Amino acid sequence: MLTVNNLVKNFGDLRAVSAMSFQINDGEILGLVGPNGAGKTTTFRMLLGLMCPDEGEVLWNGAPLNDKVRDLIGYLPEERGLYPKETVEHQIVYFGSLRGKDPKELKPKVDEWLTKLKVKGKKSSKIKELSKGNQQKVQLITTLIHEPKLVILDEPFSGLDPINADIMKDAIIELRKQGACVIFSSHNMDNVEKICDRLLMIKNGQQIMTGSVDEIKESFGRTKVFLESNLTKSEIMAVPGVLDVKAQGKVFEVKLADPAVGKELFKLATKDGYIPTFSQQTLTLEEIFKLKVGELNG
Amino acid sequence: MDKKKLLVIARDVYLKTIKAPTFIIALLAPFIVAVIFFAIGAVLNNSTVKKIGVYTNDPAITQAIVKSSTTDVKLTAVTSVKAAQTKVKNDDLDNYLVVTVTKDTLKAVVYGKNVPGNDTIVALQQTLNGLKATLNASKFNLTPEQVKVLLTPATLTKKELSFSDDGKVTTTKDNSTAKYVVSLIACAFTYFLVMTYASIIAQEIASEKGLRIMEVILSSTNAKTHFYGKLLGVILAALTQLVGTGVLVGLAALVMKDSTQVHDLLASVNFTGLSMNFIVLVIAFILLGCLFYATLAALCGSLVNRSEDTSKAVMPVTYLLFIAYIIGIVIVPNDPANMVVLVSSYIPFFSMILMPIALANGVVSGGAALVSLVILFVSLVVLAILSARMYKVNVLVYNQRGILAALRQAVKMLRS
Repeated sequence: MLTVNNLVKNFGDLRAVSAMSFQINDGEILGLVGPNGAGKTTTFRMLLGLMCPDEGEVLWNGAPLNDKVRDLIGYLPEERGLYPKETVEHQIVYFGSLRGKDPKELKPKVDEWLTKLKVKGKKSSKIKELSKGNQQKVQLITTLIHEPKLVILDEPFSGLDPINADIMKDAIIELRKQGACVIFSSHNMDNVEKICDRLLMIKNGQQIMTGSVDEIKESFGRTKVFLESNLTKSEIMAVPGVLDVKAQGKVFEVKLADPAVGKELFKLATKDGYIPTFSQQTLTLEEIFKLKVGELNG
Repeated sequence: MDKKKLLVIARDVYLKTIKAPTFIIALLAPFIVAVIFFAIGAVLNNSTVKKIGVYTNDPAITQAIVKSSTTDVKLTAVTSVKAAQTKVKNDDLDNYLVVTVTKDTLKAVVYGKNVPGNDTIVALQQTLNGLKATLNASKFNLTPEQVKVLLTPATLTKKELSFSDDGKVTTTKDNSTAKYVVSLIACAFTYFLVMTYASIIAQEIASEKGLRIMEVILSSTNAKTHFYGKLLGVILAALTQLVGTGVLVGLAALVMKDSTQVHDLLASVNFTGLSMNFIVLVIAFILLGCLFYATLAALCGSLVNRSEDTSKAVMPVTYLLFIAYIIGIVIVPNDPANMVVLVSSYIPFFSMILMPIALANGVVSGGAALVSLVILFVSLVVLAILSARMYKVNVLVYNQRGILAALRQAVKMLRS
């Protein structure tokens, strides 16, 4: 279990991270989201011991995160980097050995992982001979080969095509099954929504929202309606409490000021009986993200 | 510091370094140079036996000249100038010498397709000078013994004085040639060895930083372990090169032991002046020097953003080492006891090159060399501790405004 208590980091006059606190239980995935420059990488660096916090503490199972715990960490940095002239196997075994594993123990696992992640290339291939996507997979293997208990993934989906993104997603979900604590950052809210158990949204180094995906979404209420009926755009707009209407083919996407407005809209739309679509939904994470970031920017 | 990880890093750097083609080239380079040297020597040796015909108007003088043949210059009598010319044309002779004896003088002209080299001219000149002296001796009523006395050159030998602490003065045989040769070789060898390994480590660190591998590595192990692991790997590679060079020198000496050139070379220098202590001190200076410059270069390498900028970053380090090298090969041969040399032999940036030479030339005592070695060692320890601390900050700072700005930023971050 990872516990972060009141982390603060300043760079001169700039407060990069302010009073950050959260907890990740074993077998739990935490998504850290925020715009560029929100303090995600600085937070990761403090978790990894690459940077000392000005205040606060990072605890692993209740004890300070020290050199011994480093072997339990798997870290995938935002800017990927491997030795281009080294072979795939040497690379994976070297990073695994730096996490305290015996090379003899690691070598048989290399093949398993290459097959599992469908890496196109041999273990004797040099890194520079692989495509970018396959290099990213090798980097993921170097992150996970030593079966880490705390996995930190900085933008794991960046630069991946949809197929490779799915492979990455499966790998992260499997970590949860193995009981690891996982924290990852992403700009892709779709992936965050599908994978993470809990979400932490930060901006300008400050926590602005935290909770499970459903909790956060519900907290904004069901203020969006997809409506397909005989009503015209102007008829919908005329309903009190409707903020905006966008046409998507035959379906209108209606923004409501309050979830209760949905009932009024439903009554109006069904006054003549059957309608093909009426779906009142919560905002997507992306919409919430834009809303919160925009709100604070304003 | 995690010893297991230190060894993992050192092993990786070590294997990477000794498997690189540059290592093999650096190891073999001195021998390639030596082989070329001996090959040229062999070619020159074969062609140095000059066959020269001698023609004079006095057969007794002809015989006297012919008698003075040496291993390099073979003199034979010819019956006429015409006969000599024919032999030169047919390459039976390289040159021929026509000597005209008049009342007091002895005039000689040497002919040939090519004029003989300086060595042959000197040999001929000596023969003719001796002959002239003998011919003129009778005029002054000198006996052959008196002539011999006159012709014997004065002797000049060199001896070294050494002063012990109890005030005794002892004279020893002159070992300066041996020491000079060894120190010059050590100077060049140390320079190239130190330069090679300083570049290797700077390149290695800059490329890891440029490739953004550092974050992963430093999340696996602490910066100190990584830094010292790299230094250990590099110094082990340097040691391997030293040992490898030693083994190859031994093998070469075994293979070439019957070669006359090796015999001549060994005979020309007196190796009894080389004590075991001297050799141990030289090796200690070389290894500590390698470590000292590798540490400095590693620090410079950690300041750049891309491996392409490494040479720019290590340039100040290269200049420092180059100054030591230049003092070693320019000032020392002319004036071994020069104040610049003496002072520089104690300065850690220069001592690894200059102290072994100063010691070899006898301008400092063994005790002084030990003091300099201790200064170098202490400086190395301080430098390594400081560098390891700065390294952690440097490798994670990517400053676009140049190396100095990166250094300032690192110092600022270190203080905070």
